[in-house]
Amino acid sequence: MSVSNEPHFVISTNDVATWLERQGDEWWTVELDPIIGSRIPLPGPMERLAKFLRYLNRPMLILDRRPAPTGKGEVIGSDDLDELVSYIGDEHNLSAEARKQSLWTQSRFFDCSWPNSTDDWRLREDLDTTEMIRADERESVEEGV
Amino acid sequence: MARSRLSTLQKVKAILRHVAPLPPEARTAIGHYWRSAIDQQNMLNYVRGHLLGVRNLRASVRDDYLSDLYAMLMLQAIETLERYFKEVAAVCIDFIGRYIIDDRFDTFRIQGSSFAAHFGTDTLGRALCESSTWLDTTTINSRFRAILSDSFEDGKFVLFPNGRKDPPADRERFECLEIVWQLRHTQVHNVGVITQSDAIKFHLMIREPVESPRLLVPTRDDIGHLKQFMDETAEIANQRIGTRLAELLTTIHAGYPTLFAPQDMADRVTNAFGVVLSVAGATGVLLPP
Repeated sequence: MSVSNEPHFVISTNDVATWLERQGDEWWTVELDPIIGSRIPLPGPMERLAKFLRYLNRPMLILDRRPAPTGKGEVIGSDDLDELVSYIGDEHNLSAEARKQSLWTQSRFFDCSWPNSTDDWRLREDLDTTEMIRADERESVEEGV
Repeated sequence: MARSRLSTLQKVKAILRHVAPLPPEARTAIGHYWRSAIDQQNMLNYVRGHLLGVRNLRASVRDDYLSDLYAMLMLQAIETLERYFKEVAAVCIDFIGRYIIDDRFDTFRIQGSSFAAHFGTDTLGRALCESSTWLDTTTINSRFRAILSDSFEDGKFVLFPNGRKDPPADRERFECLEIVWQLRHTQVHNVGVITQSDAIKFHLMIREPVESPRLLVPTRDDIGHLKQFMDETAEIANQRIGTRLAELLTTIHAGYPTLFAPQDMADRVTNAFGVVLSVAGATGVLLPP
């Protein structure tokens, strides 16, 4: 099974960039994508990924992972993505206690693919790296660098 | 029950049949680097995230195994950067090889005993670069200086400057790379044990005492910081090498204008490096992925 054969929506990469820009300054990454993953260093700040998604300017598929999925390939916009976002902890049905142990499980993601492709990839928030970067920044401030 | 020797041999031979095609992004050196670097980081997060989420795991055992994983990934990350240098050097040689008659490629030597291994190599660059190691910043600098020098000149290109008058950021990168190569040495040759001789080298590099014998136990953040440094280094190297190659092709074109069409060459160089480069006044067009 791939995203294209499952309930999904179609969205422009520009709209995904717009959604990302509304999310704050977390770092994001992609998993197993040959197009984005071979062009820019990731994980990276939201702006880097958003800029590249605007450069791509093409449609992409997003899996409808909701309990009662309705996606049949309809075109959606950036305002619709909040409803489709998933959490790693939900995917693995982890307890609240387990989620506290790992920032990874608290990360948001979308399962995606490109039109006419059966290769799926994942757009994922990288809270582990975000935390590492923030800790580095705090350390720099404390040391007056 | 003990296996027969033949059976074991067959099983070991079978490893070489368990292979997969290279990913499409391996077409360019930098694309290959980015993809491998991301995959390694994602794999680490995936395994670590799962392990941290499993109930009733003994934390000390889990953390020990995670440390082993971090050490393996540290090595793989460094090897990925080495592969980038090897692949991008091969790309440069393939671009200029047919236009060069000086002795710059003498620095790459293929031993007679390894001729057979190179008959099937698909490019001159790969044949020349594949068997060398790219694990020393001074050697990397001198090889790229030779490859990218103007014809019959020693060359002035310095990929990673380290002179007293060079920018501090460049000198810091050079020093950092030296530490990275030594970390690799410790991991590869002593399975992570910092021997006394390693400790002396590290001491001189970081100007602080380093204990030995000690086992290197990198943390998750160590891997993250290392990846950031190496990503930046690959990006800087890619831009510098691509720009210098484009300059060299421009010089070659000026000496013999019918050798190649500037626009075609600019497009090829641009797409090989994934950044817009100009050759003989023609600006390359980066094809969309």
